[in-house]
Amino acid sequence: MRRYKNILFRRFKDNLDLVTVWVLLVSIQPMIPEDHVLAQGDLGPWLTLSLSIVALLRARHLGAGPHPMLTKRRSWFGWFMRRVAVVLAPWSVLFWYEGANTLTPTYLGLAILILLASVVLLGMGRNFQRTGWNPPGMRAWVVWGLMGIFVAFSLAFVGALCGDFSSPWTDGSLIPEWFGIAALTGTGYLVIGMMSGRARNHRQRKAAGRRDGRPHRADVFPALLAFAGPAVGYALLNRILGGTLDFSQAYAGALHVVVWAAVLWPRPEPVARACVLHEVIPAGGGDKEARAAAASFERPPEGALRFNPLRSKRILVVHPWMIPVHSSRIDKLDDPVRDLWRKRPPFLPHHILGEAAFEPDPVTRMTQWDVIHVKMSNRQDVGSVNADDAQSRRIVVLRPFPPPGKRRRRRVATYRWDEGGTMDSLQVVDATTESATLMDGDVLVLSSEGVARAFEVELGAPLYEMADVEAFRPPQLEDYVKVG
Amino acid sequence: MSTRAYEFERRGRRHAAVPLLLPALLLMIPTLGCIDTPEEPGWLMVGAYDAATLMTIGRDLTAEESGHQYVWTPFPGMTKSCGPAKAPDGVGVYESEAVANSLSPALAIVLERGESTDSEPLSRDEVRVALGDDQPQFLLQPAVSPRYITVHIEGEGNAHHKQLVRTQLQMELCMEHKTGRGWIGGDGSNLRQAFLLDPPDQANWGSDRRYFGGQRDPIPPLLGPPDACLADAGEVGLGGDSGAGAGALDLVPSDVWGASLRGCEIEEQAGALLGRDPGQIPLKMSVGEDQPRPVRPKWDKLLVSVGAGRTDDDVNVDLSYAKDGVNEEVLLTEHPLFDRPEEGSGSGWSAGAGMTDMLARVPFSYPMMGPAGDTERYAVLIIPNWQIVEGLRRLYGPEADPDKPRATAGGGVQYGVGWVLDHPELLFVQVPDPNAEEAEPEEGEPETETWLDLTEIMGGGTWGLRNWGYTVGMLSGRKPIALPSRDAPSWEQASVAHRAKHQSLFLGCAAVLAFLALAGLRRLPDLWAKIPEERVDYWPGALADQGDDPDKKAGDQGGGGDEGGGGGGGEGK
Repeated sequence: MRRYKNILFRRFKDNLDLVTVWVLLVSIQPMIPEDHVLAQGDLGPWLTLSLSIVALLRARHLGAGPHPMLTKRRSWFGWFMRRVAVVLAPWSVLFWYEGANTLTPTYLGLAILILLASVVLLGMGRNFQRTGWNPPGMRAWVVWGLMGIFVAFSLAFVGALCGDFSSPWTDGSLIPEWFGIAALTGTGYLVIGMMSGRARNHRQRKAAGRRDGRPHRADVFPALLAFAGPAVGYALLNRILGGTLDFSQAYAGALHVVVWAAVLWPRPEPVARACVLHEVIPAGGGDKEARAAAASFERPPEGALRFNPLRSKRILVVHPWMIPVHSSRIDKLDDPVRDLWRKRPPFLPHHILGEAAFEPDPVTRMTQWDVIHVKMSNRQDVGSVNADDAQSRRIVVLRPFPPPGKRRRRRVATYRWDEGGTMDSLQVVDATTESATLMDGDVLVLSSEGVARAFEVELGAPLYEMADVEAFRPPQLEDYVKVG
Repeated sequence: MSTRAYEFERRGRRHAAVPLLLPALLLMIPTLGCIDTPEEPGWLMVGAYDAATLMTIGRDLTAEESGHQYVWTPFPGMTKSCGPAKAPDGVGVYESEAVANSLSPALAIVLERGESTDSEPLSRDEVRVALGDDQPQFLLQPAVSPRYITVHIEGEGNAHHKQLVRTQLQMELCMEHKTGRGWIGGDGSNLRQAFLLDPPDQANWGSDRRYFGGQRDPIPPLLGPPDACLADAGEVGLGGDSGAGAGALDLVPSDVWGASLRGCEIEEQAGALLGRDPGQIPLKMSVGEDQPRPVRPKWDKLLVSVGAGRTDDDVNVDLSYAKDGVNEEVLLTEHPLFDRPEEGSGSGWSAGAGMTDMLARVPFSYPMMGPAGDTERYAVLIIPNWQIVEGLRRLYGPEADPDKPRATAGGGVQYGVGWVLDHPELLFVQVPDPNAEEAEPEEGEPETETWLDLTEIMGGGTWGLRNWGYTVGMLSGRKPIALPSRDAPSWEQASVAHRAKHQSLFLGCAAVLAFLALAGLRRLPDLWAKIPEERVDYWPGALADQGDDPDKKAGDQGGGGDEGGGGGGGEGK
């Protein structure tokens, strides 16, 4: 149960943008006038608006994408142009349907106009995520041209069948209206997904082949799911609500669009996350001066400085760090494309304490990038005595506020004057410690013989491309030493 | 694209769908909960609002000045035979005029016909509107459509009895014409109230809150002037053109005793179209471009068959009524013309000795509206403000007796329509339970059990959430409304009537509050979390800038700083 609760919260957190979109759509629904085009009874324009908004936030390609070893170009302008194109695309689909459904030439004209605008915008944004390798094969304009014609005529055909066919031999439309809207919804997802991809990517993978020497085979499941999932889902929704889905229940239609956007275009996971340590010193918190006579054992020691992680000052940034995000999946099985050249060895995310990584959540088994797991490598006892010296070391991780949603177990205090706290709020690293966890805002306190240094952990922005990770440059000696 | 991104995409479509179904279902459950599924009562309540207030929204004053105001124009034939129509004393306008011109608040209730309900107009017997605590206690009388009656008096009875019937009918029909109110029956006191024959209370003449006499027990106002004529007068004869009451602005005895009906013209036959514009208040519905073409009403047929008898006690009458001249409905069969007083009889049309009140049995119907092609889909009930005020004062006044009229103005609620809309639990709009006939009624079961209340949709729901948004629930929140206006209600008026903006703001704010509450609850334990501390003796490094730090003093005291590079405070052993 706890696992599902955590999964639920995690999904909610990952899709907060889509939830916000749904709430906004539901909130504006009562304010849309009855004669407004969005308030059309078959929900076609409303679903299209919902799809456009979620496409602006989440649209992703349905296929495998470019070869993973190729570097993609970056272009803010290109990204913007392609986003506008995919936002417009569902409206073209809608107008093909409506034009044939109502036999209105204006709609058909609008459909052609928006289609042409989308093509122009895609062309203007062609540099976004463009990769260098262009193997021979079917050209992009042939693919997109055929697809555009197929989609336009399919939608027009369905729209015509859903139109008014009243005649002495027929009574109304040949197929029910909800069928046409279901097809419209599924086609919208499919078109957005296809427009977000590239024909070149398919050619690259086809030319590269697979690791096992077999030829590349395009995966049709994503496209099938993108079309059939929302379409069948809408049909079921319509039947569940008694076949009377109209604008009064537009909130249900919007929810349908949002949920399928979350399924088809999930939020991407990063491959690594940057991290730095800030050296911190206490700001206040000192005890009163020690008395001359020693206190008894049951009383708290006097004169020791209490370090409160909420009362500290950063004085130095040290140890920039890149931490990989681990997943339970095996990359080579998931994407068996043959490498184009020998890969560079992976970077070493080694830390002074040990190997660090964002391991999958042990409860939900989902990838996470908020908690660093450090596997201790150099485990030593808290105290060591040899022939010449005796040392006492102590390493603790202070966490002011443990993450929510987790049971807070109380820590057993050593001394009666200890204030206790929870297990998560204070981790003591000693010889028996195998791993430790670090989160944003945690403070590492390393003390030896009464002298201590403290470091606050700060997590940076996630990185989604391996190229960005490989471009990371660890600090070098010359960064600290003035040469010449 | 990185292998990890690709991997995620594959994993996402495999694993994301299943957990996402759960939040989707969770989100759908509350939304489905907002869908109101009444027990198929045949009629659904889809609107409740103050018509007068709505008509002031976006009002075009220039259009009003150019003649958009509604004026009560009685039928010339009625004026000629019954005398001039007279608005209530001290007001100068009829109740319908007051409603149509926004001179008085009016509660408008729109009912939508269910799929299983036959397409007959909604009559007074099929719905009742009332106020009360937990149960209907004070019946309200919504405005009704006027009747256009051709009176046929036939039978083997003698002329004397037929003339008595004629006199009764023409007096009541003429008084409906003069006062603009419909006669629904009652005792003598009710009759005098309904037709404004009693002046305002003399004892409180100066401070009487009633702006005209007759505001005691609710009487349905007519939505337009009525018309009536006497067909086949024959031996019954016609009254003369008396000009009854023509010499006075107020009602005088000759208004009653001088009343008479004219004979029907050739074209004034049951089922024939009315000869002129009926002059009803111009009800329009917000159905967009599907406005139906105005249809002129038809003449109805009221047939009284007077039987023969040796004495008055032996005379029986048959009474039937054909709305629009078709579908004749038998109202009385072999019923004594003269009722005898009964022991312990209560109020009603047989309360005391006298002639059977025949006009009171002729049904009224409420105005029906709808888009073109479905013009009888909605019924509109319009209730003047004074009825609600009277009811509230009777129910919640010092004496709290629903049957006793309030005599004085008193204080308290003046805007009864607004009060009822704010307290929908006091309002009852009931229709007969269509399943009541199938179910076996238990012994002694009260009659109210067989009526379904349509106003439940206006209040309550889980945690009373419905009170915050749409007046009549989410599924009816976009239904059309009707207003007594020449122009169809605008979207702005419809959205205000349904409280669309409230619904919108409520949904948005509720979502934000729910999110904040969820996030806050998850972080609630932080309020009493123990902040972990570590004790060490010496912190090397730069001296901490303690500036305005509240703990500076404590740090200074504890720090000592006897170590050369001592930082935020250290203490040598």
